[in-house]
Amino acid sequence: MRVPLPWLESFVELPSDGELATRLTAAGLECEVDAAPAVPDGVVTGRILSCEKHPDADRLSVCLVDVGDGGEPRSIVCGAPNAQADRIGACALPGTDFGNGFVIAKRKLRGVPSEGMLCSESELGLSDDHDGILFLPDDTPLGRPVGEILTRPRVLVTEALSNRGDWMSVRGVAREVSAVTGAAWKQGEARPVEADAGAWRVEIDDPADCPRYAGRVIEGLTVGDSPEWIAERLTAAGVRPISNLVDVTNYVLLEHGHPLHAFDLDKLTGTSIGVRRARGREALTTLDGKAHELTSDVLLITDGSGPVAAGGVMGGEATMVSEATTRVFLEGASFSPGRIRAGARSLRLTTDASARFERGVDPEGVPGALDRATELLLEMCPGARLTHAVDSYPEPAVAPRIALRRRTLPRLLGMEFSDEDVLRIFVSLGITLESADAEAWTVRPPSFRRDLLAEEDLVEEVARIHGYDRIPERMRGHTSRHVAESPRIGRQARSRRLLLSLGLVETITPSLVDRTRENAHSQGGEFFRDSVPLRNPLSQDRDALRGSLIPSLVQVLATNRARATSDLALFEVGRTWGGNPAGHVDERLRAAILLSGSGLDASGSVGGKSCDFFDMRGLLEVYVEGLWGHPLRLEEGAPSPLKSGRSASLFVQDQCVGFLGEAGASLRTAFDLPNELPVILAELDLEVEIESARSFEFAALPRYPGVHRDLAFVVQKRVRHADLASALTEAAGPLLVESRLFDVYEGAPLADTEKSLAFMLVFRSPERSLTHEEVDERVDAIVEHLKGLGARIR
Amino acid sequence: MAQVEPDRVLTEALAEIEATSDLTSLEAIRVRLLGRKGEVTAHLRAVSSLPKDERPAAGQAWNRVRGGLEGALEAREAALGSPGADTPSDDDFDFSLPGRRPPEGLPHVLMQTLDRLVEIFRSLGFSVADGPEVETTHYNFTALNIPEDHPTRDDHDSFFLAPDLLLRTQMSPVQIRTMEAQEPPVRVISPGRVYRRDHFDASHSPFFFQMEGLYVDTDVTLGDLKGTLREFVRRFFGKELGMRFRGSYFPFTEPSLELDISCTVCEGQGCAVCKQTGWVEILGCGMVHPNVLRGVGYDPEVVSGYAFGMGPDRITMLRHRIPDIRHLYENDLRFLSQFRGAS
Repeated sequence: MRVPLPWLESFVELPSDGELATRLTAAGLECEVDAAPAVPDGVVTGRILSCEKHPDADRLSVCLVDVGDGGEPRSIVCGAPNAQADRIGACALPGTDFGNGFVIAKRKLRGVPSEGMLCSESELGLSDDHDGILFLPDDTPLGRPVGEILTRPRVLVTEALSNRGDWMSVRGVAREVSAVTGAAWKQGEARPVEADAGAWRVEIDDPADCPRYAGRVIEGLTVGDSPEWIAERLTAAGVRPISNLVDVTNYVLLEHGHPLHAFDLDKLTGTSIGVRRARGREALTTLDGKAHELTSDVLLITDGSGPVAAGGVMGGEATMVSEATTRVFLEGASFSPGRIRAGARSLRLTTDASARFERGVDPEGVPGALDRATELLLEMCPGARLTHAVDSYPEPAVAPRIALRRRTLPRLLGMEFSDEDVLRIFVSLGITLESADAEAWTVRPPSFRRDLLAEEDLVEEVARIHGYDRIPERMRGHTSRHVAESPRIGRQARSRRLLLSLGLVETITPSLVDRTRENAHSQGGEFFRDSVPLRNPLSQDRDALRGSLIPSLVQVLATNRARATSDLALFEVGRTWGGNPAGHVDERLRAAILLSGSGLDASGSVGGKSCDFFDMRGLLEVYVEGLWGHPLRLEEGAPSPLKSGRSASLFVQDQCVGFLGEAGASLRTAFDLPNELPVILAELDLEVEIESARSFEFAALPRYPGVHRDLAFVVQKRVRHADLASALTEAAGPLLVESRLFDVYEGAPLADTEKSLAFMLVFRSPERSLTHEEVDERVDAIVEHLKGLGARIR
Repeated sequence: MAQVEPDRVLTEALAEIEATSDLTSLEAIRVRLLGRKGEVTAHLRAVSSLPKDERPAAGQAWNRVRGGLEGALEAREAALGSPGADTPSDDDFDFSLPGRRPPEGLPHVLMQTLDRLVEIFRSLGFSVADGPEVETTHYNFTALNIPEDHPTRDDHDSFFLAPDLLLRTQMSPVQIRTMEAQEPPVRVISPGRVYRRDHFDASHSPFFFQMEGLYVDTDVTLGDLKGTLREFVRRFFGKELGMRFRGSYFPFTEPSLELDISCTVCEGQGCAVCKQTGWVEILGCGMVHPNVLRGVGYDPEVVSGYAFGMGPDRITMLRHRIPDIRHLYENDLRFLSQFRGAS
């Protein structure tokens, strides 16, 4: 809200601008004094003596301007359509600095010399108006600095907290100023004018929707311009003056925070006003000309003919005031915040009025606001008079009685307050002390403080007005019992640490995805799950929670491929979802890895080593052993988005924990990835509990040397390494302590169908040094046994 | 083996070395005399087969020959102006060639901020707690003292999956879950992803991170909150910064405050980052509302507590002057790699 300082100052003495903003902000009313950019030095008043068309440019004119310096009139080329002779304008002389490097200089425009600039309001920073140059009154002396002639009131720009609707008015801000500075209130209330209800009646259907509804009937009005001082204040507050009638309602809205509405009495039917919810198929055209079909969320104001306004939101077009209006029914009311919010949403309308009612408008303040409006109207229109006043307030609000116990203040704030301090704060806030004893102060908050309901609210008031910065700091020792952390937190932290140590780049990707696109990959799989739909997405491309991290990572690849590089080694540790919102939504922490191009080749050279399945497998082996302390096992078969035959499921201790494989056709097509780009993917579920954790108990180090042998076997290509290796181990017996594949060879002199697998073997006994003969015996046994798999020594 | 005068061998060889004009012949001399089967080497080996009393003298003599030859060979080699295979010249060693970098992990810049926040609060005695991103309206609103008709419950502001199921809009549900699960004292932080129904723009994202903290115990005061947050600011920014506590409003705390720190970019002078105010808002905080404590079965007459919440996205953007939040979730490698080692 924009609060012009002179307006505010009419209620309360103000400290300096800086202190005002600092004190109010500290108390919770965020604000700053709008430092209107000053008109630059060098802009002076000047009379336009003549204004001719520029000889070589249609849109320019050449003016001769007298700037009152006694010299020759200056030639100034001007582009404004409204330039005309015999008017006084604001003329920026050469050397005037508008900031941002814009300095006026003598120059030629299309061949005509120009010694300055005639300025618009926007160029002077006075308003957004840049339609033409600014004209000043004809009796303005020439050669005067414009900055001295045109002054704008300083304005306090405030942002009220959502529970402090009472701050959304000049008076509300003034009350807060008085509370934080202790300055006294300067101005009394408007003098009420007495009138009876006559035939006027107000029927409130449900006081829960509308606690209070009041009206004033004023006749003998003359619609015209508002007095200058009202127009100035409204303009400074950002409200355009329209006519005295409209301006008064806006003025009171700003000053009191009470939205008022004026009905043209000649257009109202009868003298009975109703306040009720809209019923089936009712319609209303609001004063912005829009026709609405009403739902029962909308609160209606009715007259004898039907709906005349959407209560608290906007008046109806049929009963709005016009230039011809002479009599009005002026409405002031308090509506329920929730009702107005629902109504405004149903109408898709937000107005200054609805914004205020949504934050709560004090029913006790309604007569004061109407009195103020009446006072102003009677003052402006000498022939006007108040004929009737009506007020329906079925259940007057009762301020709650609240006890603030003395011990509560130090218990929550960590400091003692004297009786005097507390009472001074209460008084400054308009809180009434009912009683005080050794235990507690018992008080009633003022009616405009609907947010003060319980003891804790008073604690806040005391702390706030005393000043949060004046509450001493303390830090208690770390005596708390440690809170056990969930295994998920440890697993997440360990995963990130391991994957970073393996050289991968961490990503954080959107967890909201495009459902259609995502489900095209998942096809309802068990691990690669369908995404979980949102009920109220903002857009179709983020309408569901992801079922897997994989498409997110592939999207990162696609993004980077389009910009700079396809060589990536990425991971994300994040959550995924499955199941059904109507039943059970299954949220699972997962880790996913993507390797593409030569992303793992740290040399960074173009055409570095491409990554493949076994790079990923090796990486996963290290990761899984580090995370769960057990080796990784692969089994054939993996979910559909991976290339069949080039993918596998991951097992730890007989539990499936995820999968790995090359990107399949559906992913490549969806993300426009060429077939020749290697893309290897893996995803693991970190929620899997692996039961028998390894003990990591010390084992005695070997005392005797091992004997080392290398053996290469030639087998048919279809024979799997795993089968050969396990047969080898089986045949070797317990003396074999280590067996490692160190080479795979295909090609001449082997047959096309053959490959060679070379193993490094270590034999060792815990009890003695082995002899070569013993080891040879084991090797012979291995060779003999592997013949069963068609293997021969190379 | 015939007796050979060590000194004669040395004299002759030195002359020969001096006469060489190229490295190849120099190497040939070295091999002939000092190689594995070289003449001097053979004499040195033969020392062990001499009578015991002759050994020391012979050994010393031939070792002297070897030392002299080695020195002469090296000097001549240097004089011939080119390094040999084993002794590169220091002048020609090009240390400016790039190193062979091992694969290096790169933590996301946002996680670097989060890791640092977590580390600081862990060292202040907080544990880490977590909870689901898909929450019930009970934990996200009701238990946090947010009334039934409060606008924040509106499906305009939050993503719903079912009438009572939504994507958490703040990390506070984790506070409730933690308090429900144990008796006071409780001292936890909860970092995690939260959701608001906003379109992406430079400063909004439908998902972002939050980190909240909670401390409930007997005798916890607003003074403790202020002291703890000052210590946090000191550790996070590595220096004393101006701090300003302002009144605010959150349904789940009373009193409610916001904390501004003096702008680290302009040091409080006013700049674009702090919108010329000299202050930057970094977190919201307050004393836990008695209704929240009652809701989890704690007695607000016995225990009290403070809570705070901050936005790691915003803090990351401030620290690194990142102008657009979308950078954080796009994962452009050119962006991510700018912050290697920032932590």
